Parts: sequence; structure tokens; C-alpha cells
Amino acid sequence: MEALKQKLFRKFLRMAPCVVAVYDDDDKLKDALRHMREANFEVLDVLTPFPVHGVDKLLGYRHTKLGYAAFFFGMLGFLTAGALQIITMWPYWPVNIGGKPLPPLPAFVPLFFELSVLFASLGMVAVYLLRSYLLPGMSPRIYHPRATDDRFVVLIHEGAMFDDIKRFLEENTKVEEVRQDVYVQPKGLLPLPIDLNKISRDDL
Amino acid sequence: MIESPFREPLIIGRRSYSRITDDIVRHVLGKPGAKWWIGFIISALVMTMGILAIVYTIFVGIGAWGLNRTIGWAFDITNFVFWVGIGHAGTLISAILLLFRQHWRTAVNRSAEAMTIFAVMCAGLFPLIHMGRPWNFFWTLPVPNDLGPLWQNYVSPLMWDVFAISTYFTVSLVFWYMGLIPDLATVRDKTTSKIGKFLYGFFALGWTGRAKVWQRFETVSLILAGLATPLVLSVHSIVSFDFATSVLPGWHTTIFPPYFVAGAIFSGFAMVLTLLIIARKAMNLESYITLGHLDVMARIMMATGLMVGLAYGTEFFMAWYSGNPYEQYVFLNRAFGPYGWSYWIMVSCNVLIPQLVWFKKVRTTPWMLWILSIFVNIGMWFERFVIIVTSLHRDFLPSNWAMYTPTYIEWAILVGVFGLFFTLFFLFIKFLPAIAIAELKSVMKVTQRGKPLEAVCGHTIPSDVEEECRPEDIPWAGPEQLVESVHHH
Repeated sequence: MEALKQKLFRKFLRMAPCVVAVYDDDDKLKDALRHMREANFEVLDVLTPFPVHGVDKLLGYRHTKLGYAAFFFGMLGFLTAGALQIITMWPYWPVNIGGKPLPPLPAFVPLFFELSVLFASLGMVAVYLLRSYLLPGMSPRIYHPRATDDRFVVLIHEGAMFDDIKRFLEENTKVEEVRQDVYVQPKGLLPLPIDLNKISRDDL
Repeated sequence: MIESPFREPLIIGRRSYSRITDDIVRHVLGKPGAKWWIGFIISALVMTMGILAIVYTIFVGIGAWGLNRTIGWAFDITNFVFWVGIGHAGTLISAILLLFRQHWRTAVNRSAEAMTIFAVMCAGLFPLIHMGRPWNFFWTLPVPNDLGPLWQNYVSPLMWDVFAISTYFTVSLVFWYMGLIPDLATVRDKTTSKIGKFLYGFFALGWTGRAKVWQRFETVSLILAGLATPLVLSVHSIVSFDFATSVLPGWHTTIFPPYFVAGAIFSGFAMVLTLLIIARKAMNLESYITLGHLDVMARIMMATGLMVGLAYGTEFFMAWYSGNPYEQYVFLNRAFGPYGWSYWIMVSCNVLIPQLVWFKKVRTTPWMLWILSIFVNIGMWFERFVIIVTSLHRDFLPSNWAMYTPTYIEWAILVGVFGLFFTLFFLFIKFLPAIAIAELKSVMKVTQRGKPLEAVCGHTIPSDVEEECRPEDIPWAGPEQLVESVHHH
């Protein structure tokens, strides 16, 4: 049983020993991230209560490609609108409306537009939610109870150097709290029936 | 971020991040007060009356209304166009102002978007009950059927409406929910009740605020705003096609799409003001929804109101200039015929009374603005009534001419749907964060960098805000603060 649990954890979760560094201000956070980058820390994740501009650049994240998803689904909507209107109103049941030519393309413009927008929005949001593992019933691991309120949390890969990291952070940054924890992040799309908060360092 | 010292701050008084959270989440976590219960119960009773009237209509048929062979559209479609229009302000605030980087939108976008969604729900109800057999509503949807290859007529503007309104509703709902996810997570982490933790946690989708997810969130918001901006313009344009593609004098004009869109934003902003002036007072949110916000919204209302006034004038001018006697008659009949009173209500409420917004005193006095917004709401409802009923009641053939009188069932539906709208709004302000917490936090430092607020904003700050200010509440604004204070001296 225990072995199976371990196997499942390894399959669906990315786990690593980590250091949790808590800051109480976004500018202190950005300053700390600059120091961490210079010291070559492996930052696993940063949790903030609101989008702090510049954090993605400090972490070296590349620009998101969700725009391509929106474009793809938008095109899909456009083609769907074309298929729906042209097929049903031309070969299926051609109606002579005021002697206008078939297919009546100008009259199809509104639906081309509406379905493109509908597909683009829904498709892009679906990709965004799936890609970020935001699914109904997901129970996230809470590293700090106020991480969605006013605390800014940095998760650093520990690499058996907790004391060194702690000293570095206390000397160079305005850190509020430093402690050891486990970094747990789902890597599969299935919502896991386990509470991520129950995972401890023994499960590593 | 460059900030003009002459601009009013977006948030009055010093606020820390946790104080913002507490101020907004307090209403979700706490028990609702007596005022909330009174408002909610009255709205729910009015809604019940509306539901009874709708049920009666469905049992009896459209004969329960005052329609006749000449006037086939009246209260029902008036209400439909009115409510679709109300929704437009929410999308303007959430999408168009996001593209224009208007930071003040953060305090009002959540409630305005909620208003959009509820208004579109109210609007969607009317075509549904107007069908007479609402259980056949799916005939408007492209579902495979047993009539062989017979599908919908996509050349009809009514069909475009089905797609436009349902797309608008879906995209608005998705946009709103997207923004709610981080705040639901905040409530999840704040609440102590087990049910609350489960429910808010369920809908928060496991949000933790990871940097990568925030990056995606911002991109998704921007693209959704880019998609919603043309969408909102298309919706009321398509609603106006319902009229403009007919050959009826008074309806058959090319000015209709922009005229309807301007009117929609005009009426929508009036409704936003009606709701928010009460909500900010009842929920003690004056520090976030400041007089500056009311001022800006009043200006937008004014600008769109002037466009509407211009459209009224243009319509009259074109009727005369076209040389078409039918067109000319319809417009003279509108202003001086048997329904002339409704035309003059419309002109006074939409063009004359809003001129008061030119005065700064009116823009920054909540009760004056509230009364004014009620006038605009009434005026914009009458605008649709005037367009629909006065154009229909006298057409080309005088033997067709008729008058329309609404029945008490129609009045009950009109009032009852306001009950539905307010019931939904009361539930919203109780169970969901009424202000976008995360977005507000992200503009907090942009707007308050240690400036003398009285000197900047021109109106005095409430003393309770000053007293509650503790040194630890003052955020550290970084090196810009120093640079700026040097510039000041």
C-alpha cells in the first residue's frame, strides 16, 4: 500500500525538498528575487496574492503562448460558422430571399464573427485552466495561509543546504520567515483524490 | 508608471494589502445586516410577482398582453432591448477600459460585470416568453432535428440575435469567473467555516497564485478583453438590425447600430451608478469606490448621452431631408402624435436632465447623481418604447392604425424582472467579493505614494480613515517614493 502510494506520487506529482521564504511586500520580493538570481538559486515557484509585474522576467519565464490557442480556436469557430451556415442554407434547403444570390454571404458575417469570438474565448480559457491545473475540486498545497492575502512566498530548491540558504536570505533580503517544506506540484491533468497538504518530507 | 500629481488617488486613505482583503472579504464572511435582508426580501417578493405573471402568460398565451395585430412588439421587446443595453456598461468597464489601461476600473469592474451578466439574463427572458411556447426555445438553436435538412434561417437578424446574445452572455460569464478565481481562493483561505472552505475551494479550482499562472492570467484577461470589445459593439448593433433591416419608417435607418450602442452604454452607466452609489454607502466602500470614480463614470454617461441626443436630432433631420413622406410623418407623429408624451419623457430624461452633469457639484454629490441616474434609466426605457411602439402603431395603411395599452400582467413582468435583477445583485454582494481584490492590490502602489491626499484630490478624507492608519499599514513604495519626494520639494 505504502509502495503504491509512493509510486502514484512519483507519477502524478513533482516533489522536491524546498525552502519557503516569506516576504511581506512585493518590492521586497522583487529585490530578493534579484539576489537569488545572482546567487544562482533554483527558484521552484513564487506565490503572490496579485500579479506582481516583473516577477516573470526575474524568473526567466518565457512569454505565454496562449494567444496561439485563442487564434487556433478562433479559426475553428470561423470554419464552424461557415460550415453551419453555408451547408444548411445552400445545399440543404436553398431559400430564395428577395432574389439574392446563393449563398447569401454578406448575411453570414454576424455569425462568422460571433462564433469566432465564442470559440476563441472558450478554447483559450479551457487551455489556460488545463495547462495551469486549475480544475474543480483541486486541493492545492497551502505554503502560507496568507499567500492569497498579503504575503509573498518564494519556494527555493533546498539541495541539502538549508542553513546556507537561510543565512543568505537573512543577510541579503528583507525576509520575514524561512522554513523547510516540500514542494508539491501536480504534473498530470487528472484531479488527484489526495490532499496535497498531507504530504510531508517523509514522502520524498 | 508615471502618475500625475493632479490626478485623484484611486484609493482614499492609506491601505495595506491585508486591509484591502479584510475590507472586501468582511461582507462575504460576515452575517448580512438588516439592510441587506430588507433589500433582499423586497426584491425577492417583487421577483415572485414577476414569476407569477410569467407563469400566467405561459398558461394563457400572449393574449394576456395588450398586443394586437398592428402592434406585435411592445413592452416585451422594449424590456429586452433595455436590459441588453444595461449590460453594455459592464463590458465597457471590464474590457474596453482594460485595453485603455484605465486603472480606476479595478474598483468597479467586478460589480459592473456582475450587473452585465444579470442584465443579460433578464434580457434573455423576454424573447423566450414572447415565443408563446417557450418549451420550444431549442428550435432557435442549430440542433439536429427530424425535419430532414431544414435548419434555422441564418439570414434573419432574429437568428443573429440568438447567437449574439448567447455568445455575449457566455463570454461575459467566462471573463467574470476568470477574474473571480483568485479572489475565491482568497475567501477560501480566509473563511473558517467548513462549508465555505469546501465551496469557495471547489470554485477556486485549486488556485495558489503561482507566478507562471499569474502571467497566463494577465495574457488571458487581455485577449478576452480584446475579444469582448468588438463583441459588445456587435451585440447591440445586431439588436438594432432587428429593427433596421425591416422596411418600417422609423426603424429603417442606417444610424441605428451606433445609435443603439451609444444608448446602451449610456443606460448601462446610469444603472452602474444607481447600484454602486447605494452599494458603496451600504458596504462602507467609499475609500475604494471614491467620488473620483463616480465623477469619471458620470462623464462617460454624459458623453454617451450627448451622442444619443445627437442621434435623436439626426433622425429628425434625416426624416425631413429624405423627402420621404412616410418617414416624415412617423417622426412628426412620434413627437406630436398620441404617444408624444413618451417622446418628451425620453428627450427630457436623456438629453435635458443629463446636462446637469456639466456641473462638478452634481458629479461629486452622490445623491444628486443617483437621482439623475434614475432619470436616465427611465428615459432609456422610454427610448426603446418610443422606437418600437410609435413606429408600429401607424404604418402605411391608415386602416391598420391602432393604439397599444399594456395590461397589468405586462406591468407585473416589467417590475418583476427588476426584482429578479436586484435579487441576483443582492446575492452577489453577499456571497462573492464585490470588488476585484487582487486587481485592486495591483494598483494600490501606483496610486498612493505618500502624497498629501487633501492637496491632490480636492475633497476631504473621512476622519475615520485617518485614525485607523497605522505606521505598519503604510506600504514601502520603493525607490520611486524617494525620487518623487525630491521632485515635490
